[in-house]
Amino acid sequence: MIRFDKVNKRFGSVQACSNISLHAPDGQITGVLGPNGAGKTTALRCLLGLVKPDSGQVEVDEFRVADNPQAARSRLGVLPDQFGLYVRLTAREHLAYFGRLHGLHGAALDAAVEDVAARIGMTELLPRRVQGFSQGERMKVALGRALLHNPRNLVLDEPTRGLDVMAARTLRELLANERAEGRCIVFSSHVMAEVAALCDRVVIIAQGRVTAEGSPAELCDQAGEPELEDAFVKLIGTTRGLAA
Amino acid sequence: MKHTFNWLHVKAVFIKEALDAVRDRRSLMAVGGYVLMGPVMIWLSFTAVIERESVATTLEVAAQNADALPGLTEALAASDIKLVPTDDAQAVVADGEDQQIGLRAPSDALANLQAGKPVRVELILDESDNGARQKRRRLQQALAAWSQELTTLRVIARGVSPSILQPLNIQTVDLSTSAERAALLLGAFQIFLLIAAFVGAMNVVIDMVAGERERHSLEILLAQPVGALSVLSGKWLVATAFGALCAVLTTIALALIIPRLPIAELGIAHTPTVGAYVLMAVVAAALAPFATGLQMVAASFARTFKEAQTYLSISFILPMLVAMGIQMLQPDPQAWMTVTPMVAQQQLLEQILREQWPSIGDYVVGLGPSLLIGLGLMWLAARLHQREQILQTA
Repeated sequence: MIRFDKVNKRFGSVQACSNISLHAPDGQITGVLGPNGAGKTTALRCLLGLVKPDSGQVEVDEFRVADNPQAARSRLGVLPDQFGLYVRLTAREHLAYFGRLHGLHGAALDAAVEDVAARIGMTELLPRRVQGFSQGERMKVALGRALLHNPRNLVLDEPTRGLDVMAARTLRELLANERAEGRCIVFSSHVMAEVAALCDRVVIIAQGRVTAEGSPAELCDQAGEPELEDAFVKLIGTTRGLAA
Repeated sequence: MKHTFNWLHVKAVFIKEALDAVRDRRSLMAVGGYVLMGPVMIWLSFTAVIERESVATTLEVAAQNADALPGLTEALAASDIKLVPTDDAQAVVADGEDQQIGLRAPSDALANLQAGKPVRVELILDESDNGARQKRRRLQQALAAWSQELTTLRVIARGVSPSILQPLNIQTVDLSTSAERAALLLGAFQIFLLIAAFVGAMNVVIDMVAGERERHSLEILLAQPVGALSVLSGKWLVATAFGALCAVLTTIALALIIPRLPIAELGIAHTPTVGAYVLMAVVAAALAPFATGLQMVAASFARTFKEAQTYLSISFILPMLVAMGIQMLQPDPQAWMTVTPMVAQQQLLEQILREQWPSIGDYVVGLGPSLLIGLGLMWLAARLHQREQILQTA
């Protein structure tokens, strides 16, 4: 479970997050939509405890990020938009490194690495260095890194960007499986069809504030548009008009 | 981000960064290149100095009317100076092709000599030419010696003791031992040793700190349940190990090259012992914690690899200037010098080279601050990694 409660964050003259409240429950996929610069990255950094909100609270399960960032982080698996891999390390070394940072060692670490590799279908990648990996293979390593410690909550920032059809499809199947296991999944995307197909709930963020939320169908109804993409454009535009 | 510190996290970061650094060709080349380049440069410059100082060549002098001074040719030959007869010494020197210096005696030279009157001898040269000035000094010395010899013979012929003409007999007593002369010459080596730790750590630090930021891997790393202090400690240990390794290898390379240098030709029979080299390696390696800490702080302000290279080359030149400044100015020892990183190491190296063995206490006082200040700088770098700005990328 991830909860934002009236989170505000300002950088100089820019209000990056303005009273953001959202709730992503367990066993659901929550999509976060927003144009570039809407404040998604800042919100994610608040969730990870890397940026301190000026006011408001962020909670991961029963932990407040401000009070106990380490506990909150140990409950999170994160796939950032920039994978941030080390090209000189093998896939196995990546997983082992992050496993150790999560307190896994020895046989337990080895078992976790093999297990997550089997789940994602990257066992044959384990002994290879990341240097020559395709975008899809890199995504698998980054996803394995996020899932290794079996977190209750998954946050994925544009995970399908740059993936070919097969890789994107594999990822969507995997996310559906993780939801079935009761995990809380939050993911952002610009591919509306993907969001419409996968997400139980959608939160639209624009100019640092939550402008609409609900199931994809509810958002379409709210905007009076049959397609989510049109609804998205309209909802952002409408809100901008209201805010002005 | 709290300052949580966990040894298991430090170990995890250490293992990862060590693996990454060992596989980084740039880091290995920086160490290898420096270890090889230092001794080669020293060998080349050293042999050049020795050739200039010690190889005596025959000095040729264009001589006009030198026959008028009987015995001069033989006397100068003893100093390896050869007189080449010519009709116009000035023309020969001005021409600049053969002799750079000329000697001209007047036609009445023999008559004056026999009459006991001073003979005017002219030395012809271009005083603005360094090489010619050196030759003039050498010729002048030889002429003065011959003149002194003639004086002695003249006073003896008149029944006077030559010692009466010499109220003062000036002798220089050189108190420097050969080991001390060697230390002076080995000063260049000190600078190479003092910089070794900086060179060894530099590329590793850039890659681990600024490179991590440039690759966007810093954010995901800091998003793990691990404190910045643990992360930076692991990185600091790896770069310190690289710096220390570079210092030790540089010492070994110097130890291999010194016996092959022709320093005996400079009248120095002394080279450091194996024990002295071991101590020098310890002193040079002890700079690594400080060098790494300093570079980590500088790199924490850099968003890209290139930016870090600029900052670090500055943080690298400063200590180098300190080392060279002290080497050249040779200031009197003062208390602050024994505890200041770089300066303290330099003092210890100097003492070891002079075989004035420092005590254990001297090592603790001299090297301890490098470790403590290095730890302090690493802590500062960890603080810098807790700023929100650290997530900004170029």
